Amino acid sequence: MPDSSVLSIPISPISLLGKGALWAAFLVAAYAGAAGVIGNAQRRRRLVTSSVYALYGFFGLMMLASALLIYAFVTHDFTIKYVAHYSDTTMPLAYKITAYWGGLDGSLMFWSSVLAVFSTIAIRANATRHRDMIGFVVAVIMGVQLFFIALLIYTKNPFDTFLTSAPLDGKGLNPLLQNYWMVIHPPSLYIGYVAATIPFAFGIGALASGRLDDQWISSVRTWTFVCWFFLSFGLILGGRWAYEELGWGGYWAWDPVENAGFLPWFTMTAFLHAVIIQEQRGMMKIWNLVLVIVTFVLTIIGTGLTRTGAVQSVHAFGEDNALALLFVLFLCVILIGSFGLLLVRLPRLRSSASFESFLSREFAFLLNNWILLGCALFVFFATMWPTLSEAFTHNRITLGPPFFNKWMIPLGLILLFLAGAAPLLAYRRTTRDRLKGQFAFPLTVLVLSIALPAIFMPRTRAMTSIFHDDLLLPVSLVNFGLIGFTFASVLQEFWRGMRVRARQTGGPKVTSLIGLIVSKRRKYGGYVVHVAIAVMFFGFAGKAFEGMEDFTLTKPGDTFRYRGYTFRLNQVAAPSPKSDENREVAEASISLFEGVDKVPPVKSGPRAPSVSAVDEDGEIDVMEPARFRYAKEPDQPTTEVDISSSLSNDVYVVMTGFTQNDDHTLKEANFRVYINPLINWVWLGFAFLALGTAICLIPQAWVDRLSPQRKTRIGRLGEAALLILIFAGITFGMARVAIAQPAPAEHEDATFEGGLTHNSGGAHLFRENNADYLRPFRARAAQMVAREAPQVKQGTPEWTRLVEAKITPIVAVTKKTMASMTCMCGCTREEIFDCKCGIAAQEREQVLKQMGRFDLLSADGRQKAMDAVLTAYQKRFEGTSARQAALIVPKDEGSGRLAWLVPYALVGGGLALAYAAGRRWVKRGRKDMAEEGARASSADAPENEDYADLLDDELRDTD
Amino acid sequence: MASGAGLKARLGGRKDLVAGAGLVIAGWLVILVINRWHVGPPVVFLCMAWLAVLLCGRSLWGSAQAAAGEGTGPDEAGFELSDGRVAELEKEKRALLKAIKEVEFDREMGKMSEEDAAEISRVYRARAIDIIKELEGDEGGKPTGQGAIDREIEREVRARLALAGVAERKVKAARSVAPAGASAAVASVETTADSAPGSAKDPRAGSKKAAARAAAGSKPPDDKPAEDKPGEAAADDDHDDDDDDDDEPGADAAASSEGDAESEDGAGSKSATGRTAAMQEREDA
Repeated sequence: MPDSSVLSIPISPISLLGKGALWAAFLVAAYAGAAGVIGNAQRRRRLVTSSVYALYGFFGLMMLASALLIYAFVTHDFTIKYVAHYSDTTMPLAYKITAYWGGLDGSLMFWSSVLAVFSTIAIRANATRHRDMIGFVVAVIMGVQLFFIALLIYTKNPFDTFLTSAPLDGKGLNPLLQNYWMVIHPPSLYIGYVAATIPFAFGIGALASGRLDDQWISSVRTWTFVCWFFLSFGLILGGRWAYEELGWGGYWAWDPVENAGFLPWFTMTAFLHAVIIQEQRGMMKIWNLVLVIVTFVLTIIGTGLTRTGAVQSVHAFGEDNALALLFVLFLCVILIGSFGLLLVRLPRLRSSASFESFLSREFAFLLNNWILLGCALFVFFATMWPTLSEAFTHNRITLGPPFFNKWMIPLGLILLFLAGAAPLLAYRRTTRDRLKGQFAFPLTVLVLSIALPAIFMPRTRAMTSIFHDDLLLPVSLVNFGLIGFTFASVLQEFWRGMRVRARQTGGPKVTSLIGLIVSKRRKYGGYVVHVAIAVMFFGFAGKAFEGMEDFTLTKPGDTFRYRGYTFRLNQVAAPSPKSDENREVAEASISLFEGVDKVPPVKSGPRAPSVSAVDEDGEIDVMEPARFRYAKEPDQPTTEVDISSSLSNDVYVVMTGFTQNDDHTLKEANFRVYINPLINWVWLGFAFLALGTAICLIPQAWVDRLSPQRKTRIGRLGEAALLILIFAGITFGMARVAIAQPAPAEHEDATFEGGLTHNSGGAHLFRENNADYLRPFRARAAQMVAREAPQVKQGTPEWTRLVEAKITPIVAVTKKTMASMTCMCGCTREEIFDCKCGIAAQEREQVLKQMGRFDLLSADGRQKAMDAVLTAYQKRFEGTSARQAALIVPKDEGSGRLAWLVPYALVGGGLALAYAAGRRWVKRGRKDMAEEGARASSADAPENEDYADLLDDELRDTD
Repeated sequence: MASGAGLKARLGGRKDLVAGAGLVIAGWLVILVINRWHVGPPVVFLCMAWLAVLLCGRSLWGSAQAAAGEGTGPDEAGFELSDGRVAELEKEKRALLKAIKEVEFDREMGKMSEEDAAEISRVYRARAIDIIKELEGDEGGKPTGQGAIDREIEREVRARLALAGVAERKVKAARSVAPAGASAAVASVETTADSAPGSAKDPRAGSKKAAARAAAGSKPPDDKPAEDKPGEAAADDDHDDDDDDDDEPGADAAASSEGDAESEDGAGSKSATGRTAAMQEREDA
């Protein structure tokens, strides 16, 4: 780090080299883009070749810039501002390397670098195949790169240095990013985002060159899978990270930034389906181009949302209006350019076939596409609503997770139904007789899957509101039914396909099954993905039965019972500095027992928290939740959860706080326990999803080895690499590594109960089952029971049961009320029921006070109490922008009504459009079919005999 | 017989490789000497940076070379904008073949009734025949294109093989059973197959084409030499050694069919390539 002797301005050679590399990259990108366009437009082949080489050169420059930045991190070059802001000398090497994408500037450069790698591979594989359009493809990719490089050079340069003397040590990477999941989660989403650029570039290249056949689709197939798989992987990793690290017991809360990753996933899933129809039937050409464009636009929106602070999120980098404006301008250019080109080429994109029946696979795919697009639109609308409502009504209306669930649950169920039904339908049309034959078994399984849980598990009959509060559906039952339906449908497809194949080839069934999967791997790999989705829905079903409870224990040996489990506190270890990790750790040890009435006392004094051996009767696990305080972030005490997992459920324990006496003995320890049924099926479903994707991507070369009649090389390397990545993904993804880390979504109130140190926390205070709150109701309930059932003796189990039956609705309505109120501590996403902060505790106290004034033993009284509390809460924020945000789901009134109206309009309009367009297409398709039928008779004419022979020969060779 | 230009290009490529490897190693040695042979993360990333510099330099040099050669060679004329109608017809035909097979599969799986399947299949077949007619060239109800002749020979060979009872060793038997003229052509084409883009990857395709040519008594279709000029071949070698055969018009269609996971068929694609070339020739004429 030499200093300039005259001005004392720190000079870093790495900074100079890095800036030089970025400038060179900018110039090279500009040249490559221009050469590509001119070369293709004027058919100047060598200019196109030059542009391709320039793209490789760009890749080299971005690798150079990346290597330099990481070099700066590992050599502690704190003259570079970015290095000083996101690293320090004590950080482990792995985090120094991942700090590359830990900040805004570096993340933009990482985006550009990943695109450079992908574009090099894609162009290398396709340059000689598509000389007539590759120049345009290079130009599109370089256009995107120009935008990002321009951002880097002009506003977010990661190689900028301090104008004054450099600090001796850096600030360090945000503790939130120093964990295992954060190392792999962002790159995975990035890969998904960036991979969407390749299909977009080829799509635009096809439009620009006028080469509008399906060639571009076959070239980008691998990339669409890469994009889709890594978006899925990124989303599931994000869910797993949230589950293990955020300490709120869930994995998905419709956070705006996570939603941004979900948006392109919807459209890419739609594209993966629609492209099959284009390949099989020559239909949906325009639609596929639209999907590719929209997916790319959504990835740019996703990238922009995280970086410009347009939405509030725990993942956002911070607010930057100038950057937001640049992203908006870039989006405008993309939209105008892409759709303008599409409009110009529209006459040449007419389908070569039409829909002929609603009961056809094509129509099922179209429906699936519309619903997926509808999901994307809805999520986009609901994510942006706080920003939009603030801009238009000056009221920032936040739409919480319950609002999303009201819409996304039924839409998800429809998609699940289609995942099971579409494979049963034939292309073009399915007759009624055949429909019966196809649907009989899956529908039987559907009915059984609904009836059996309904009979034997009464809790599954619970009704949930969908679309609107008044529209109720037994969601769990429907979900189980559709899961069964999808499984049965896929099973039937495999079984019947195997039999047909065995009949055709005359081989044994197992060989036929393998042959079937390999020869039709996209189809059957897709079915495995459908199974994966069904498995995930099984995991989602557990949400309906989850439970949460807070409890306080004061000394070792204290126990707490919840849902058949008994928790025994062994010890809480006093905070101890762990110098090597630069943090202070307090750790509890809790023995978890299942199915035992009486747990044994703690053996011979306090058990050391590090002892985790299960050695007592009925003891199934020793759990060690902890709280950390980092030296660099002392104001942000955090928690580390511990999870005891099984296929049936997870027991999830968080230590929300603890206090000590003066002699450092334990005074009080507070814990929150979540029971999450079936949650591990969500992760298991992802393993199936990866398997299905891997089947779809089996390289042709591997198939050739099985049946040596064909050779292919296109994308072989990429596909094989992706397979390896997928398997690595499964391995890493399934590994249960829970590194103790801070939790950004935890809103520990620093001022509550005096201070920033580990304290008792507020999470356990003023809960819905608070004894003081329920005491008067319990007394009145006892009087009522005495009146209504005088024969039952007081104090008997029957007596207790009757009293509790009257108290349970009170607890439920209190919980519902608390779960409807947004916590105003600044989190904006959590209800006062969940939030662990002191403000939430104070609000809960108010709720208990207010509700206690009503007659909660009557249904009418409960409803009145809830309405009154919610109205009063909203009124408190009257005149402020937070009025509508006070409730987690806005009321269907005033400006809040808009939030409801838009999705209704979307769904209603979509349905009407689907019906009208479908009818028109089917009518036209039938007409075409009739004409074709008349002409088809000419195929049997004697003069066509030779051609028919030729056709038969070709058919014989088609698998 | 490998062409001299190809060999030269290959050797030239190797020279580049040796020079490149030398530069990489020399740079790494310098970095290691400066860092006193201490291999740590900084050294690793410096070495990567050096590699990136060389890669960038090589690519930009290639870019400049290509741009400098702009307008000097005959390449401009060979730049085809699109395979156009032929490629689209081939694609549509493949889609129809797949659709017919899918209908057959659906029928056997019970999704479709016999009548429906027959009706739909008939429509597809009629459409496919129309396309084949267009691709093959329809002269008085007889297919006259290269593919049709290929198929005819295949049928003949199959019939003979069936008679000889050696169906399981098709190719070997075909050599012994095929007409003498065709065999001679097979031999002659196979010897030149290495240098003929489009057939280098599959000698069997070349032999089939040659057999067809011999049987038809016609001159082999000229595979658009404009696309295969030596200078360009060398440029292609730099670009992607594996993809030289794609230079042939219509090879894109074949190549794309290779990428297609479900539909492509080796023999079909190969004969399609031949037909595409013939069709292109007719279009050019």
